[in-house]
Amino acid sequence: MPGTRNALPDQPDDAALAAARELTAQLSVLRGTVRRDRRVTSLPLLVLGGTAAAVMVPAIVQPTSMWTDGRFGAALQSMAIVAAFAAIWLAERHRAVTAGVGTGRGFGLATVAGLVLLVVPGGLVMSLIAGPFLTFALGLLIAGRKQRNAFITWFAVAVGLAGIVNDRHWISNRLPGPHPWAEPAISLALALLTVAAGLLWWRQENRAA
Amino acid sequence: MTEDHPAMTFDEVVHQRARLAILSVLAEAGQADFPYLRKLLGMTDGNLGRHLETLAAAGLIVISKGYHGNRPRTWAELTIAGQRALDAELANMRALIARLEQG
Repeated sequence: MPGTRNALPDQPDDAALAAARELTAQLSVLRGTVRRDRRVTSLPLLVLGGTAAAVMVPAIVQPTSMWTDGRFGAALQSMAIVAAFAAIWLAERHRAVTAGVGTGRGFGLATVAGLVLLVVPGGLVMSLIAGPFLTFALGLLIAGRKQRNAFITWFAVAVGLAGIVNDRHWISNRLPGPHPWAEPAISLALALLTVAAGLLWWRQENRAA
Repeated sequence: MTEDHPAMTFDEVVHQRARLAILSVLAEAGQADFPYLRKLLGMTDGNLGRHLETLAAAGLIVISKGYHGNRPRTWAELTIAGQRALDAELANMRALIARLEQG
């Protein structure tokens, strides 16, 4: 953004309108460039979605194994999602040091919130009842709010609620016939939806810059 | 009583092309260091430094200095007042554009 002149000096309306439009367009490009440099929306969605998908696949392949079924399986999946938040936090911290842009604060808080859910007895009971999507939604919601990222915030609410409802079998119980794979399959679909959203945002961030 | 023209409500400190750009970048970045801002905005060291000082003096950003290894680094971060000022400025800009478009 070269030049240090006033953004809208005294000028006729047509010139003022053109100057205002040009300035807002330039600011929009700048913000887009920062978003691309930080991979602000795509990185969290890809890492979280990829991690969630990786831990959901064994639950479909072996739905009755102790590692994937029931509350023990849910606790392991929640731990993997907390690890994903920590990985995003470290990636953002690394980018802040090497590229000089961004902070990992939102995802640092998300990691702490996820750990609290797993360590504090009340939180652990809640996450065992609601399943791994509680950790997913809470962490993503905190990060989205902290970073003023509307898409991440609403995505956390929508996918988190769908995941929690599914974990309580409110969706799979409405399907005709017994399908032990239905609940993990829906969870996997939500994880893949997150990855798909991440890929779309990756393209969007490239275009906006 | 007549309504103020949107151009009359611009903040003198914020409503300057380079400072508006700095605030916009910081709003998106959370915080950014001096070389990142200089490269992205295409400004000289002296020019960027003066604008950062002006914004810091107005309480719109916080400047912090530190080291990474042996290398000194200067970081700029938007304050809550800075975020509010930027939001107000952009709202004024949109109001001005809407008003001019209506003729």
